[in-house]
Amino acid sequence: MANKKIIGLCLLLLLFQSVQTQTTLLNNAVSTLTNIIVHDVFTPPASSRIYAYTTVAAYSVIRLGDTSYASLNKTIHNFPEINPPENNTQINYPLAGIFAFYYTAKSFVYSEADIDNALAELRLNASANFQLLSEEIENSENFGKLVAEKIIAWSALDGYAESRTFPRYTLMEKEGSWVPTPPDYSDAMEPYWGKLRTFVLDSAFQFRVQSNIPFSTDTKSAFYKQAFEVYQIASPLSTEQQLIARFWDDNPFATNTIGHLQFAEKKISPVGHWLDITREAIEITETEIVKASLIYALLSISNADAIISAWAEKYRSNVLRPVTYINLYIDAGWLPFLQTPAFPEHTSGHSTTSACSATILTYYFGNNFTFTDASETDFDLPSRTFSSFIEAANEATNSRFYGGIHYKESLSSGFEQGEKIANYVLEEFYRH
Amino acid sequence: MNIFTKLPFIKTLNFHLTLCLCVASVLSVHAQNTYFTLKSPLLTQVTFNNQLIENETINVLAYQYLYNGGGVAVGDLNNDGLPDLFFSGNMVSDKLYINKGNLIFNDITQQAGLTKTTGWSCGVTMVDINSDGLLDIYVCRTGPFSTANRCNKLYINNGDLTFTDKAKEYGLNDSAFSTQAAFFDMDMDGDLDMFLLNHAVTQTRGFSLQEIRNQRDIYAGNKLFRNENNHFIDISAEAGIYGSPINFGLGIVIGDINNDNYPDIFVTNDYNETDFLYLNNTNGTFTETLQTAFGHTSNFSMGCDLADINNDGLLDLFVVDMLPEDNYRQKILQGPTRYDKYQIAVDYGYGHQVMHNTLQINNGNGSFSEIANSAGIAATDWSWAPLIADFDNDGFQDIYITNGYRRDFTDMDFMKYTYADEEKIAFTQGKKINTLALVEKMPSVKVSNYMYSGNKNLVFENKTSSWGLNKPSFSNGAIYADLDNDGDLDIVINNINDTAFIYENNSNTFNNNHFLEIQLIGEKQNINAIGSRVIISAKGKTLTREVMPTRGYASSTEAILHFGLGDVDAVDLEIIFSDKKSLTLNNIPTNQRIIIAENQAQITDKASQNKKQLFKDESNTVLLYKHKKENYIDFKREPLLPYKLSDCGPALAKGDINGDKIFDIYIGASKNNKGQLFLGDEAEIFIPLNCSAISNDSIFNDVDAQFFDADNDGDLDLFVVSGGNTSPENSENYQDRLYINDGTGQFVHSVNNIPQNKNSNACIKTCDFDGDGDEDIFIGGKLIPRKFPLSPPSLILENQGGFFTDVTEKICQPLLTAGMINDALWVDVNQDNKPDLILVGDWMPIRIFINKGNRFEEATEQYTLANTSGWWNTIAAADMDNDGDLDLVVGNRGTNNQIRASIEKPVLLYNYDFDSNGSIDPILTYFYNDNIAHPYASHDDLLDQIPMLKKKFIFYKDYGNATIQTLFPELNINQIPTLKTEIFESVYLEQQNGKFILHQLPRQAQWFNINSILLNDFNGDGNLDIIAAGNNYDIRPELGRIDAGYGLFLSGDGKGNFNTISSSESGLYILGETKNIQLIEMKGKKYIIIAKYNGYVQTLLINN
Repeated sequence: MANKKIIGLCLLLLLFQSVQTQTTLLNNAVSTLTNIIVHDVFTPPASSRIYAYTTVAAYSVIRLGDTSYASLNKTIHNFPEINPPENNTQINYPLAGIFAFYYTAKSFVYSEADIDNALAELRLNASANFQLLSEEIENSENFGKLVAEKIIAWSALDGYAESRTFPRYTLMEKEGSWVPTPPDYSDAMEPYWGKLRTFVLDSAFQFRVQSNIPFSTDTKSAFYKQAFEVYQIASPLSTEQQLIARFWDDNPFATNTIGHLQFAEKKISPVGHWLDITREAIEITETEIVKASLIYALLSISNADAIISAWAEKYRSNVLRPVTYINLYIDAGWLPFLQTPAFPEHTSGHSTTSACSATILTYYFGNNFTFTDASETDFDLPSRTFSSFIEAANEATNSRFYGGIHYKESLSSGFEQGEKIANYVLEEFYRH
Repeated sequence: MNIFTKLPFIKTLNFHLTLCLCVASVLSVHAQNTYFTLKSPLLTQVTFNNQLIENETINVLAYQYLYNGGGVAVGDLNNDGLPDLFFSGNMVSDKLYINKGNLIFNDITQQAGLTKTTGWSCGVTMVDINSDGLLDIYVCRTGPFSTANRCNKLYINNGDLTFTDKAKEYGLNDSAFSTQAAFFDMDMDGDLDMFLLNHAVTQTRGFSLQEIRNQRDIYAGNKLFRNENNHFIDISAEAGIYGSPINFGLGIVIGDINNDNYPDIFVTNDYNETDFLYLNNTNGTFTETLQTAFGHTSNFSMGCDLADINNDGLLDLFVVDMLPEDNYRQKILQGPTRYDKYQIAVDYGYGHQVMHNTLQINNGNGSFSEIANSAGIAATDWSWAPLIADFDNDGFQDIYITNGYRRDFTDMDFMKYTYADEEKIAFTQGKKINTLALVEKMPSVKVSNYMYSGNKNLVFENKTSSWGLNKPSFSNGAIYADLDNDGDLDIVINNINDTAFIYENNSNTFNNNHFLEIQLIGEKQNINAIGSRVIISAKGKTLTREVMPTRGYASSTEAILHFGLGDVDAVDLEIIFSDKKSLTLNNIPTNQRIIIAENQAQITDKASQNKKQLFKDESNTVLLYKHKKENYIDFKREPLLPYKLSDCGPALAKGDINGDKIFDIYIGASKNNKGQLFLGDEAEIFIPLNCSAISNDSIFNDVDAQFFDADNDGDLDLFVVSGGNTSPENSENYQDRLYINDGTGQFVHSVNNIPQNKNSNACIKTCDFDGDGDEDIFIGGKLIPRKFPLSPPSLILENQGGFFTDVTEKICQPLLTAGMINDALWVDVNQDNKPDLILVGDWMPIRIFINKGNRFEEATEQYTLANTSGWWNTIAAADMDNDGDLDLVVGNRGTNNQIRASIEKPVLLYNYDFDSNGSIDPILTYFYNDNIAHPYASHDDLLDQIPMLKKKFIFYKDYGNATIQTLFPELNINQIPTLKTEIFESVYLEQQNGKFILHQLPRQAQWFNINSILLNDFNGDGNLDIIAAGNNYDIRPELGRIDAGYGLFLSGDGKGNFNTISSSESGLYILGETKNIQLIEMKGKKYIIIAKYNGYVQTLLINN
């Protein structure tokens, strides 16, 4: 289905050549990847990693055509040198960058055939719409592929492959520790994600946020109160709160059960959601491709680091989810409005991601930026309009509370962490 | 048509009849080939078809039990000697057919006043509720309808084949979602009470709802009604019957499970909720005892049957589930293994549930052994009605199982991909997904029902095809009955979207097996004597049946008992009527139906015989010690492990350490716990002895130990073997230890006398192998931690003046790569007065090394043991057949496991780092029923271990037929290191002329893994007997735990034959996971000390 959409878009573009820009091709590439990520069911951490490497590959090539844009090698740890080819081959760097994006993506996703189709479309497009010579297209593709190989080789050292060999998570026996949650009681997701190589941060704990509310079953305790708050807001949620919770659910794999019938509904991940907002902003502002690719890259790497940081904290503090606490101490039959993701509660990863993304986007597009987020119409949810990115991030953050999957404290600590990480990434990039 | 047109009179017949004759001639030819013949509806006139037509309001999304189908009831409604049939219809009308003889039926539904215009019928039972000699019909109503349309029906037989619904008058017009009802006399007051099996319609999604079990939901919860002068009163609450909103009752059977003459109740539960076993308290109340009676149960429990399946006078229980038999269907329904989810469910009180059929063999002492895998009947796809009966009249119970589900709901590709893909297409087109349309497009795979024939060994053989029963269908309720009065049982099946099946049993034309059919006439208000038991004795065989029509799924049989009797001409009968009156009849000829009335019977309150038992439990007075396991889930680190490796120990050693001529004991501990010495005492108890050298050494997992005189100073020293899998390779925690006795029973840890050995080992066996007057040591190496299935060297340590030197390389190099050793023996196999060495272990044959004086030579092949690769746990030797040489008894994994092995179809274990990431990916394959070896691991589990396969096997269906070669086409599979298993049976190896002849131990010995064996004359008859014990609880959850062993006493006859003595007779009853056993004599009394993993030590006194 991903392909049908692309084909449709391409046909549309053929009709209205004037609208066709290189940026559109990049936007399409990001959307294509998002569709595949949804289909292949990558977890939010895994998808944040894929977005980071693919967008970095694209930017690193595209900027070679406009050297006023800095290399990422001073910003990102151990970043490989990406230089133009030494011989004077004719290369269209924007096109090569998109090739680099797809070839990088191909090594990560499972549904490789979808990438192959997108590559074929890209070649067709390059010759039909940009009237590039076949040799130039070929050179650009070869260079993009070469860079992709470098990025892939570099990505292989980030600890991800190693983390696949680590033991599966063993539950803590301490009271108040996280345990798998209904309805599926899925195993702990990515318990070692906090150990992955960060892109820009010194370490996963550089911007550490700790909970100030110790676990307690005492009905007068702060912990009980924050759990009771989750319980209370949900009974019942207003229609608007329900809409908000669903809009920002961003759960790549929510299961439904009717008797013995089970089926999953899939949505884009939080980072995928914010990349779609990014695309919207780029389209509104008609941003040129090199800047667009930089925004995609910085947003993706800061989010990759944000998720590494959030996951490190999640498995450090191991806080149990509201559903577990409420079932044990308040109401045995209670279930949250959203399906609880399969990892510890503190901090809220979506809050971190949203604050991080909104900070990056605000930097580039300004504080007052009205946009309509239609990313969820693919999932049967009406679009929502926001007058700033921060407003959207705040709503995304609150959605986790409405959804019954986070305590309030984790929302603000996650938000704070995300802002700090984004600012740090921007500072690091522009410092050099 | 030609053959007919030649006959002039045929021309006058109408077309339909001509066709009938056609079919008849075809079928009669067919009938000669197989035991069963599917009768054409054109012949039988039974055209009932439980047709489902789904629409906007009636569909599986609106009502999750839409495809649960209907049932069949059989009984002689008009007392003409021919059983009549009632089919319950869901969306179609119920149908009543009167049997006209010769398997021809007449549909009288309309005349009878039974045409159903509204409502959804499910279970049906024929019962003479008013004991007027006329069977009445009780129909359970459920379905996507209002309460008014769900009132159950009690059709009272007016005697003229018309019926009047009097459910309301009787108080039985219950409007719960009813699956089935069972009538029985629960309180022995002479009238019939009723249990009503109900189900919820909305799913609950959390385990914490377990608290809800104590709530009562009038539409979902089960109910028990007491009959008070033909008015039924709901007494569920005071009788102790659960009636919660998480109840999904699909199966009910009633019978005297504990042989106290009172009927007990078993009901199943779909989904999370447990099944319930209600034992009759004999005072009108019941006690739920499921989790003490059963080690584990089916997960999605459906229909069930209760019958004496092994002819031992005890009712056994069979429950069906939904596991498919073939590899492909298993692979597309299996998701990731979820240890945490499984454990959370157990912690919440849902018990151990596993998705396969379960056959619970009644041990007669309140416990059951679940052996469906060993019996070969664990996987029969999405199953509904199991029916236990003797279909070929050979005297052994067979099992018929219906199955089928209208949509293939268990398809993981649908779950993971199809729905979301379709949803996305719909949304991008601006539409909403039509889930119903999508569900309706789901594949529906008709599979054939199963027929298994039984034998005396409780091993069932699939006869579905050879007996002519292999027509694929979506089948639900079914019954057996002798419809044509020819002495064998025919089968009637209610199908979804197919005409009902009537299978005529022609087995009487194939064999000359005899039968006996018995109809009992009861007294008072139980005219059909429901709940009565008949015991037949003939030729040393005892067959037991109970009159209980409701069984299987949503159906009821006749109240007539059918016995298959092989070649028996006459039998003795004992009848115990439901109100305890009994009657004995001798020398009754077979091949007939007899009617026996209760008024001939007399009250004989049989006093239960309290026979003296051989084994008496004295655990509480003799020795108190509890082994605690280390909480470590090996599968988390090694996801493809076929079994856990860390669950070893405790060590158990005996010896007189203080020279007082009384045995003392050492029991090992797991890591971070302290091993313990016990001094034997004059008072026949063991007293803990403090020994700081031992209690300081708590970082080890003690898996074996032995007392022996290491330094030749006349007292016993102690060697403790450290093992397990929880610490990393070469950890200090694996160091073996030698403790030197100071002569008084106090010990000092001697660090330098033995070589450093940080391997994870399994056993120590000492012996003066070189005849120099001191004890030498064999150490069996077990595993390299976290590198399954690699194993460390096994070693021979020669005693050189109290110092032990590794001489393995010099005298027996093959030991360095001997395999995953579990146990060893020093015995003189070839009678040359030099001790030889026998090794057993996992993935290896039983290996024999002959002592040649200064070296050892392997003689495994010479002793014909080359093809004995198994998962051998333990070995013992003695001259079992009194012929002067040593025989062996060897404990293996047993056959109570989904994974099967034989020499021709071995289990293979590929021992290779397939993705070159530095860790071994142990891939186990075995031969599935397509005779092809497929990997055992589920799609998710394998791809989790080898992520590079994710691109190739995105979909479950892609993996569904995979073999090791298609997984890795680029590899030459033959060159990959491979281990194999060819036998899972525990064996008796009889030595004969320098060879070992392999005999499987009796069947009960194959129901569990045997970890420990004792050979001794326990019963004092002069012949050596065998005691074996084992079990394995911490196992891959989808395989289910092995808990069928309660210790096994095999009485030997001195000629190499062994007779299984039941637990209830011998008193040998060993719960838990036994790891080591020792026999100890104290003051002339013999005790058996049993060390268990994660449990208390048990002590049995031999009471002879």
